[in-house]
This record gives sequence, C-alpha cells and structure tokens, in this order.
Amino acid sequence: MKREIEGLYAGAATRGIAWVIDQVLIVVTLGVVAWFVTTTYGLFNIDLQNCEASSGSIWYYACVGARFGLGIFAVAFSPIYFIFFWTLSGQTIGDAILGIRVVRLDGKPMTIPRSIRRFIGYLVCFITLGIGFLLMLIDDQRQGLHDMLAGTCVIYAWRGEQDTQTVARLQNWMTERRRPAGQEPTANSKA
Amino acid sequence: MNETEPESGLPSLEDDLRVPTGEGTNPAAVAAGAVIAGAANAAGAVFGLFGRRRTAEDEFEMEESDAESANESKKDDTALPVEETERVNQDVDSIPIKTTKPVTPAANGDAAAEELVHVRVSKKGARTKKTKPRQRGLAESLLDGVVAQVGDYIESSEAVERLVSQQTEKILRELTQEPALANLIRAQAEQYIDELAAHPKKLETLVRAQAEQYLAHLMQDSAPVDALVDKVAGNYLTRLTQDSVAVDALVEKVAGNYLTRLTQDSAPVDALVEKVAGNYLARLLDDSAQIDALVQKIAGNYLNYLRAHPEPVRVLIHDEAGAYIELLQRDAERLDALVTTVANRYVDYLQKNPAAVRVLIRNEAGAYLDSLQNDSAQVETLVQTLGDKYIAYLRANPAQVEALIRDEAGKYLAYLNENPTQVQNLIRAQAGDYLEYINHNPALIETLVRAQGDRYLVRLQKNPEDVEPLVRALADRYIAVLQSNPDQLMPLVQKVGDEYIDYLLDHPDAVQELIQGQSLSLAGVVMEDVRSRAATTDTLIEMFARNIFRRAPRGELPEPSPEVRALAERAPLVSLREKKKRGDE
Repeated sequence: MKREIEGLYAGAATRGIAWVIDQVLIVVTLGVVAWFVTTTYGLFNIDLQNCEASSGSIWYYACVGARFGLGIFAVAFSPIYFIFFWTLSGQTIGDAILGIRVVRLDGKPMTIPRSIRRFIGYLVCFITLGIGFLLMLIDDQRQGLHDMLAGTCVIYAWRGEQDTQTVARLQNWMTERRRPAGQEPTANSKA
Repeated sequence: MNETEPESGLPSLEDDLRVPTGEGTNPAAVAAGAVIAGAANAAGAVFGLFGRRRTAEDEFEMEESDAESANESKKDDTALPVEETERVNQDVDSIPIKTTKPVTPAANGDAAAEELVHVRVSKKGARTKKTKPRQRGLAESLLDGVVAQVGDYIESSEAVERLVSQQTEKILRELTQEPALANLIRAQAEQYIDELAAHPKKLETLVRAQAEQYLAHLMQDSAPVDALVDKVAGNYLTRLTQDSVAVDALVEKVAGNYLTRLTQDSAPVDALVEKVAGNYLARLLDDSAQIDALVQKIAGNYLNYLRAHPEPVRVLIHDEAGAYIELLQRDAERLDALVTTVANRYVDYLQKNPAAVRVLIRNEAGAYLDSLQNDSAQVETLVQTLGDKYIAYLRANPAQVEALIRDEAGKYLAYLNENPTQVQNLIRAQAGDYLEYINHNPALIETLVRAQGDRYLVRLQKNPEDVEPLVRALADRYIAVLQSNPDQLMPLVQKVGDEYIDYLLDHPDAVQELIQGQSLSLAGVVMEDVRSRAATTDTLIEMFARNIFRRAPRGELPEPSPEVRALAERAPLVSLREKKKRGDE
C-alpha cells in the first residue's frame, strides 16, 4: 500500500539526510577551496601553515591574508550557503536531492531575514545539544525549534509515496511488544 | 239652539270630526281636528246664513219641490213635523255607526282619551232642509274651497308631516313595548300558522304563486338581483378572506358532515358518480379530438412544470421508487409473480412482433449510442466500473472462469476441428476485409492503437501488481520454451544479436543518448527510491521515538494549508525584485 506524500510535512529522517548531504557538500567545498589556495600558494613556495618562514617579505602578508581569508570563508560559508538557498528556492542541494522544501507557514516566499532567523534557530538547536531538533518528532507540523523561531516548516516537494505497509507492520510489531502477556491480539494486529 | 245643530242629538259635523283632547292625545290628530273643526264652523256659519247644511236628502227634496222653500223653511226652521222627525230618526238609527278608537292610545288611561270618534256615513246621515238652489250652490262652492284649502295645508305643511311622523314613530315604539299587542300578534300568527298547517295545499299554492311572481319579476328585471348578489357575495368574500380560520372550520365541518353522510349512504353517491362518469365518458367518446387536445395541453403543462422544477420531481421519484422498492422487497413472492407475469407477457408480445422488436431495438440502440457519444465521460466511468466489477468477480472465482473458458474454448475448438475449411475461409474473408480496411485507413488505426495503448498503459501503471504476475508468467513460459528448445534458441539469439549490433553500429548517437538516458533514469530511480525510503523512515523514527517515550503512536498528521501545499508543486524560484514586491516584511 502506498500513500502520496507530496505537500505533507517532511520528517526527521529525510531532513537529517538532507542536512548530512549539505554538510558533506560544505566540508568538501571548504576542503577544495583550502586545497586550491594552499596549492596555489605552494607554487610560490609559501606554506600557509608556516607563514613565519617567509617573514619580512611581502609573501608573509600574503600568507597571513590567505589564512585569515580562509578562516573567514570557513566560518561564513555555511550560513551563506543555507541562507542563500533557503531564500532563493527554499531548497538547499541536500533538500533538493531528498525532495523537500522549506516554506513559510503562511505560504508566502522566503525572505532573507526569515532565513537568517532560521539559521540562528539552527545554532540554538546545536547549543541545546539537538533538543530543538527533537521537537520535530513530537510536533504535529514536524517543526523543530528553528522552524518555530522562523515561522517555517518543511514539506515533501516531490510526487512520491510512502510505504504504509511497512509502517503498519512496524506499528503492529510495536503494539505486540507493548501488549501485556496473556491479552488477546486485536484484529488489526492479526492482520 | 243653532239652526245648524242636529235636532235628534246626533253629533254635528264638528262633533263627528272631534278627537279626544285629553293628555296623551295625538297632537297631529288634534291639529287636524282643529283645522277641520274650524272649517266646519266656517261651513256652519255659512249654513247659518243661508239656512242649513246641504245634504243628500236636500238634493232629493229639492228635486221634488223646488218651489216650496224659503217661507216654510223659515217657519219650521227649528222643528220638523212629528211624522217626519220620527221617520228621520228611524232612518238615522238604521245607519250603521262605525266606531273607532282614537289613533293614539291615552297616555295615562285618561277617560277623556277613551272617547270614541263617531263618523256617520250615509245618504241619510243628515236632516233634510229645503234651501234655495242659489244659496246651496254658493255654500257648496265655499265649503269646497275651504276643504280644499285645508287639505292643501295638511298635505303641504312640513310641520304637520313632521308631527305626524314623530307621533307615528312614538306610537310604533310604544306598540313594540306593548306586551298585549305582542301577545295578540303572536296569537294571530299562531292561528294563522295553524290555519296554514291545516291547509298545506292552500299554503303551497300561495307560496308557489308568490314565488313564481317573484321569479318572473326577477327574471324580467335581473339587474337589481345581480347587484344584490354581487354586493352580498362581495361582502361575504371579504369577510371570508378576513377570517380564514372560521372559513376553514366551516368548510371542514361541512365537508365532514357531507362525507359522513356520503359514507353512510353511498348508494346515491355511486349512482351519481356512475351517471356523471357515464355522461362524461360518452361525451369524451363522441369528441375524441377535444380529448386529445385537452390531454396534450394538460400533459404539456405538466411536463413544462416538471422541467421547470427538476428537484421536486427527483425527490418525488426517489421517494416513490424507494417506497415501491421497499414494498416489493417486503413482498418478494408478489414481486416474483409480477415480474414473471410481465416478462412473460412482454416476451410473448416480442415473439409475436419481431418486426416491432427490430424497430424498437434500432431506435433504442440509436438513442443510446447518441447519448453515449454525447456523454463520453459517463460512458468511461460506467465501463471502468463494470470492468472493475467484472475483473473483481473473475479474480474471486478463478475456477469458474477457467471452467467457462475451457467450455467455450472446447466448443469452439471442436467446431473448428470439425470444419477446417470453413474456418479457413472465414479467417481469410475476415482478415481480407480487415486488411483492406486497415490499408485504406492507416491514420484511424494509428489513433485507435495509440488510444488503446495509452489507456492500457495508464491502467497498468495504476495497477502494477496486475502487470507483474502477467509478465512473470509470460516470461516464465518463454524461458521454459527456450530452455526446452536450445536448438531453436541459439540461432534466434545470434540473429537478434547480430541485428542489434548492426543497428548500434549504424546509430552511434542513438546509442549514446540511450546510455545517457539510461544513466539519468537509473539515477532518478535511485533518488526516488532513497526519497521514498527516507519518507517511510520519517514515520518509523517518530514511532520509535514515541515508543521509547511510552507515548501512543501518532495517527494521521494534519495536512498543511492549501497555500503551503501549493508551494510543493511549483518551484518558488522568484527574483529578488519580485520578492520585494510580494514581500510582507
């Protein structure tokens, strides 16, 4: 049995996978940029990890500038990445792969301030050791703390279906486990 | 003693005209009496001058002897001869005296009011005296003038008229309060009624005569009757309109009485209905054109009304059909009998009239096909519904289906085995026709094949579980055939492989596109699978989490608002400028 899920609230697993993909992309991008800058500087015999070796020359300042720039890029890339994509289409690359989209609860387009608010909510969730993310397991709109702060939610944006048979099977299994010993199984659990 | 006074104690004219003058006396009568008395006095005075009053007797005597007069009358002015006096008295006594009560009764029972008025009317009512003709003529004319004046005065006087009318009203009022009079009238009326009851024929004749007269009069002059009827009917209708409750109650009561009476005595009703119906039917049979026109008009009106009010009609049909179906369900035997009877009758008729059946089928089929062509969506729905039902039935009863197919196929195969030539000819003919038609209409065939293919593919896509067993069965059969015949398989594989390789060599672009497309579709399939599994995992994780926290499993999640859901279908890639326009922040 299948159930169409397009337009419904997306759950934690899908969003988590998308987030992991985004993080991988961010890390890869940061690594590639760092590798590119380091390699480029290496052509000029400048080691970015040891700028003091070329102290006293102009290369020293170039080395320090590159290290500072890389640091700023590493810090700023992640928020820019998320804010840019959320504002542009509501989908980061990971979200697009998993077919989910961040939208406002009132159905209007995402804006930069709202995306910034959502990213701040991300940070708050991390600070609270992920408790803010767990809210989406309980909330009826599957909103995490960051969604609540920004007034957003995440929906499935693809014409897919959910395997309700598997869900039903697992539900029966859990019901059986929770059933006290000696009690007759219900008609649903038998099925 | 005055000359004019009567000698034998008879009242003079003044006395004759005297009316009671006591309390309660009618003033009009008093006034009239006074006037007349005055006139009489004046006449008396005239008679006093010229002898005595002129009477009828005088006229008689005047004719006898016109010559004897003045001297004798002067001599015997106050006395008649004894014989004459006695004769006259006798004559006078023989005159009947009409005695009447005064017009108005005495108010307080006054004795004076009880006086009677005596009026003597006779040729011999007055004593005869002989006068000269000249004098008599003058006196007569004078008296006539006075009387005429008095009469004119009475007739024209408004005061007298008013007085008379007032007094009349007063008298009538008093009379209505008089119990004696009421008793008298009642007694008279009872007597009269008894008399009429004793002689009903007389009464009937009288009533008939009066009624006929009255009817004749009314028929001659119907305008007043019409006006009266209009007025009465108008008043009545106005009153009925204003007080409909009373009218309803009256109608209910009257109708109830009438129905009760009709129920108790139905024979006259039956007879009446039979007679009326007979007349009506006879008339209708005589004039069928009029009936047709009437029926058409009524039916047309009815159909127009039904077309204008489809909803009540639908409700009515639904209710009626429901009630009828319930009734038939309750009484299954009756239903069976009815159905059998009707069906038998129908079948008999159809068997006897094959031509009519053919026409009917053609007409019905034509109408049905027109209707289906006009409403293809309904047809499609119907076909799908019936097809689904049929498929479901066949799935539920595979053994029956198999037996049926076997039977039918066995029959056909047996027949085909027995008649190979016929089969061959038939196939050739059919195939020839078909091939010819197909050759002439390639576009039609293509459209048909595409439409059927699309419909079939859509259906298969919607129900992949139906396709899978079929494909598996076919593939298994092919594989089994190929495995059992390796000699046939190898040349086939070589041939097909060579063809494919040649094709790939000839079309390298197509091969490249195919590979790219396959790669993309493979990536798409993988991505879709990942998404689907992730979506399923969403629910599973929530269930696990709720199970861990010992919370009841969550039911269906609420659906987002339509605006939010709409965002899932379209990519909200909008320019920043447009965002600025739309933005609410």
